[in-house]
Amino acid sequence: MTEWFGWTGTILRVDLSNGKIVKEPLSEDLAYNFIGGRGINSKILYDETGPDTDPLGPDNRLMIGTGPTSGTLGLGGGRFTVTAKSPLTGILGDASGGGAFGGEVKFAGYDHIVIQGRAKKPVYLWINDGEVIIKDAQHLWGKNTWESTELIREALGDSDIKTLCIGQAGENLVTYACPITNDERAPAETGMGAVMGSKNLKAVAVRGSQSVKVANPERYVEIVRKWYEDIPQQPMTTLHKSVGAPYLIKLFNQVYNLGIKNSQELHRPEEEISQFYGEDFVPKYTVRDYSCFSCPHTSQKYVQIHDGPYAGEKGMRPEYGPLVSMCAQLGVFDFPFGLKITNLANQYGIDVQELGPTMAMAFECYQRGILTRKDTDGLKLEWGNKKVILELLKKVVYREGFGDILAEGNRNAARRIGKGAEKYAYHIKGKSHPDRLTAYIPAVLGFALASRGWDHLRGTVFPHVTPSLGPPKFWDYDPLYAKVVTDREHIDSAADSLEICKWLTEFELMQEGLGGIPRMAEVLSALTGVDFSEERLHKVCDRIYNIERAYLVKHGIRREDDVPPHHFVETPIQEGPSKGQSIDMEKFEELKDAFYEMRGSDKKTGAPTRKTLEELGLKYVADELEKTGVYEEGK
Amino acid sequence: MGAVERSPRISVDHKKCSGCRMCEQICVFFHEREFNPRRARIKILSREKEGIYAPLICNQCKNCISVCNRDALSWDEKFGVVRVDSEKCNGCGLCIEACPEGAIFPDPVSGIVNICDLCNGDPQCVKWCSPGVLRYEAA
Repeated sequence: MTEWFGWTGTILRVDLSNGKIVKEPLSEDLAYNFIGGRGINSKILYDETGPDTDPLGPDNRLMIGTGPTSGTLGLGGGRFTVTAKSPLTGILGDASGGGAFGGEVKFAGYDHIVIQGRAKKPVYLWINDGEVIIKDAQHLWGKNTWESTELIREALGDSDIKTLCIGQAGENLVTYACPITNDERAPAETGMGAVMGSKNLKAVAVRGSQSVKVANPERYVEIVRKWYEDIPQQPMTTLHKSVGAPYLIKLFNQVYNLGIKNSQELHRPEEEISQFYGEDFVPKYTVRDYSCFSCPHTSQKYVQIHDGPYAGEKGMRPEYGPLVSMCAQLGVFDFPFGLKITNLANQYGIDVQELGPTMAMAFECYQRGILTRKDTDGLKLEWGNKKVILELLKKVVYREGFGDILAEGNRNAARRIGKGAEKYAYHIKGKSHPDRLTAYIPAVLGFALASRGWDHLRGTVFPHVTPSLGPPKFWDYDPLYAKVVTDREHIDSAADSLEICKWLTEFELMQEGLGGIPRMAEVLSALTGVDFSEERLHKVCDRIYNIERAYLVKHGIRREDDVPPHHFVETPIQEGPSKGQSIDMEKFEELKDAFYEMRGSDKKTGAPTRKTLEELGLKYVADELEKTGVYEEGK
Repeated sequence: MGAVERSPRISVDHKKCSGCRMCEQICVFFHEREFNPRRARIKILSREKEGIYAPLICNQCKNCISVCNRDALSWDEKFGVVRVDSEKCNGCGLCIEACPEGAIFPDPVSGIVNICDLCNGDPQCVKWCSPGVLRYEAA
């Protein structure tokens, strides 16, 4: 038997249909070739689900993956990835979460938890070290994530229990429902909460008392120490620590890149919205700093509203994404309201970065007369109407009336509305995002190629976090960006598989080499005792990219799906320094050529070639793709 | 208790605590060369929804020594800390109940209790506490 360091060496498998619980040894093949977290989750998803799997059926797998750093010191020790076939997009679904849950799963003795089947009645899974029990959750059904967590802790008599819990949105199978942990940490993307709901799984509750062993503890702690000594030397650190991601609101407004009213507008005069700048509201409302488990990075803040209509509202300061999604994109510039609606979304368990754009699409349809009050149960979908936004949120969560349509997500809701609504639904591969068209083309390339749809955490390069590339050139299609995006993808998939927070890789340590592959390879070697050279880690990242890509190909995704949202192309920017600009698709397609070539993919289909897959030890994947006929298409 | 005032101790400015629990992690690393917050000699009490974090740590009051009926706890004059005799301690928990700071913890791996030993004069939690919550006040 292998003695494991960094890994616990056990995968927990639970079949909710028949109550079978199995502890499976982690294989060296899986650990060394896919590491953990997102990597191993994606491999299991590829192997065990396919085009015939109904995302909301019992055959779908719900995976909770930790990585070698989960539970250890200082690099985002609470992180984990939830993966399943997505009910929102119908392709690969996964979402990464912070907090403390991932660490607790490791302390309970598991690297991964794989859940399949469907319980007959609502249940929750109670994992107390080696003891794993499927418990009745009928009394929790209908309760929100905060209440449920408290009731579970009370019933089990331990306030330190960590939960991953769905709210009413997951129960009602809203396609972008998400589980919540630590009250406000959301592995939000691609509807993992609906998958839990479909399995009648209200929550996973974990408590562990076992140690995570490290192969070379002295070396590991030394690397972590150095990591933290490097952070304060970085140019953005002060801003990150004092304001956090909401500093982007001011920055994007100044460069005419803030998504307002379903991205119809890009900018507001400073005097009109300066109270919505992070630099203004963060100091005003901050009570104290907040960190996830075993991570001293404190860009998070605990805030409290003292006056006005939302007085008394308190909780974790929402990030840039939720604030733009639920406020600016709906014509609201009010931080206390942003906190209120984000808290509600966390209680219901719903992804605000899909909800906001979906509502914004509906609001624009209303503005244009495609929707009227007859369609919306009498609600006037007028920009900036906070009361309507709150009411609509509830309708979506409970799938009431018009809310039932929006519960399908931006792309599918627009299809159901019809009458040209799809023109106003902006998504990539069925997943929305609050961002507006950016002038920085490598970012757009990253969006278009990301394996779970429109995403900024998977190969997306932003100028302000990549100073080593030199001064950014805007509206520039240099083929060099194919490599830049590939390199970033590797940093991201390594971080997602070791389970290191991206604040500590790309965002904080911007200069490659500090938070990048070389240092992650050192961390992985010290943790596990397995010699991971840079080259070996790059190969793992290649393998993860290609197995995810193959999963997409099996589900019919081709080169023509790797495109920016259509308004990036069809709607030139109306104002500001980029006035008149839009994506030049001819040049963009040339850039994609360079990217597929770099990746060893077929240029015609975007599918990984047999040669590429075989070099990565994935011959069986090539054989499967062969059967789909995609290699014939490429000829 | 004049002796208490002279002892070195860790002082806590709990308002600054962000709940990162690096102190717990580095504590266990120093003592056990592994990671497991349940084995730590310091604990962050969390009320996440209220945004409240309070480090619990021994203040060397010695109450525990007097309640132990197995003679497992003793005072180490040299470092000014309570020592746990791993042969004598059976993890009964009398000291845990007697501790006014809630700063004695059962170790789920060893079965005995863990009490802060100030890392023999160089407390690691203080070194790694980046918000500056913990400060070491030597005698």
